[in-house]
Amino acid sequence: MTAAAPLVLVVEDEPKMRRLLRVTLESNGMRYAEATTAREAMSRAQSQRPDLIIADLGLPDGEGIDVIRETRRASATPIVVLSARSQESEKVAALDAGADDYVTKPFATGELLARLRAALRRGVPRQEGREPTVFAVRDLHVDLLQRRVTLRGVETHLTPIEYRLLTALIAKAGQVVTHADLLRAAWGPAKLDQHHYLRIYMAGLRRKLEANPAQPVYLLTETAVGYRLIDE
Amino acid sequence: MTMRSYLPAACIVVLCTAVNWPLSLWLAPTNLAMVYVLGVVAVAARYERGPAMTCALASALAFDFFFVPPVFTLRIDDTQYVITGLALVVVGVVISTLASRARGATRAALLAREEQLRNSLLASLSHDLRTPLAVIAGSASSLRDERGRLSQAEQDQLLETLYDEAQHVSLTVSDLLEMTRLHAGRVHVDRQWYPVEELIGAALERCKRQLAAHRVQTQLDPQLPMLHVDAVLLEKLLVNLLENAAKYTPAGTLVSISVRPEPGTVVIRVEDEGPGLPPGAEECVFDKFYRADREGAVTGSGLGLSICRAIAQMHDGSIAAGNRPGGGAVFTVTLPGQQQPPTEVQ
Repeated sequence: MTAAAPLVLVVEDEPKMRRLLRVTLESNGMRYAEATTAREAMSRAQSQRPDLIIADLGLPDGEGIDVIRETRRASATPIVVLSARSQESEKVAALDAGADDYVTKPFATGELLARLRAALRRGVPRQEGREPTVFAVRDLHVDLLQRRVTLRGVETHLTPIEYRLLTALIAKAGQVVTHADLLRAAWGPAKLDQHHYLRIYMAGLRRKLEANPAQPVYLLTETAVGYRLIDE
Repeated sequence: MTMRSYLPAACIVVLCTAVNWPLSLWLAPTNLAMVYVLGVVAVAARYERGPAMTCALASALAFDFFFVPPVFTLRIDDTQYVITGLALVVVGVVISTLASRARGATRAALLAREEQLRNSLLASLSHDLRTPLAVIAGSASSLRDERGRLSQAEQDQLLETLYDEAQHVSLTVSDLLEMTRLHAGRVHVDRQWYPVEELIGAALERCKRQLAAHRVQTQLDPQLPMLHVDAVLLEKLLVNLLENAAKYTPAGTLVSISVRPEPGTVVIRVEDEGPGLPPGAEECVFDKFYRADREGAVTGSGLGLSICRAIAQMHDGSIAAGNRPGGGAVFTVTLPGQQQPPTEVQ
């Protein structure tokens, strides 16, 4: 277990964005390290062993996505990507390359910190026999051993596919899960391009878990990327 | 002009000659000249004057050489063919001149339109960016220099203003980029099948902050078909309509989205309880840089609704604005909703 404040490595070439992130992170109990190029990022990720990496996608000396791929090859350090809106395909590429989540610029600090907390939670190495057996957020309660889903104490029956989708989202609660990962979790590798199947089943899951499926509270849509189950 | 456009012109002459060769067994040479005229017209329509006139001249020579007796000489025994040949050249000159003039006029009109767009773009930019930037700089300098003299409430207010205005600048810039991309036709429409509630939910989630002070209601018909749309673009359309509603209506009022199927289409309505549209503005709200209230406190790029219209049209749909009988504005988006996706999975 990491006792001290988590060390966050910020990979960003814009000095002003680095300053903002430094202030935000340090005032929220995290330690800050920085890299301004892809090359520096890769060497620091090795030498300083950060608990979390925040990576900007566009770097002067290489694609941010290469940093993600290289880092992921060497370690399981959680990576959160900073990206502009209308870069959905780049977000998906970054997630496929091994990033854990993304935050869209311009971001509100609260949103950024929530994503970082979720990523840090996922990054804490699980001790043996300590796999979580229960997931609970607001009125939703999922017993992963007994496969029981309750809403405000009332049991809800899910189909096997709906349950597989829900557990895939729980495994990365608070973080985005891509369409491809959810398709793989629910149907295996055969249907990876059948995104509309996924949407039909997610709609079914929402009808069972959300008070109003058109204003979801638990299962949020990340348009053109995937879905996110809230965890706080 | 490149030499390359002379090559097709030459090819056309050769082609016309090849076509005429067998025809010359049955047709009088004057009729064969008509085939050359067709060739000249084709070249004039597609290329500049130079190739077109060269084509006309070469056609006249080929006509004379191959088809006017005595063949395989440039001699002309029968004077009527002099007229035919000359007519061929004149047709080439006239048509290529007309065609190039028409092209010039179209290009000039296009340039004028672009120029006009650029001008209004610049005017809009300077106003819509300068105002919030001035507010941002002002608020920030007050906070930096006079923090000691400001009450907590005043500081909070300045910080809130800072955030809102920065958000606004960011939105204006992304609207401008979006409009430029849509205008340049560089947007690839990636259509997939979506349940309507997912699209509505995603848009509402993105507008959560702006709509925090409003009541939001959704009414979705249970019989809705799935929509075959680009979710990123459709979300942008809905977000623009919702942000508009949030911007132009007082806090506490209702913003409602309803979706119902109609034969062959799906109709999405975004309604509010605000002051509604000025009479006669139902169409021009979709013009670029139109703003309902130029002097008022509400700021915007004036591009939001024209982006909405562009997106609706890219989906073979439409968007219209109007006022509700009881007051408030209503925006109606109509999208094709006939076909259904390939269903059932295991």
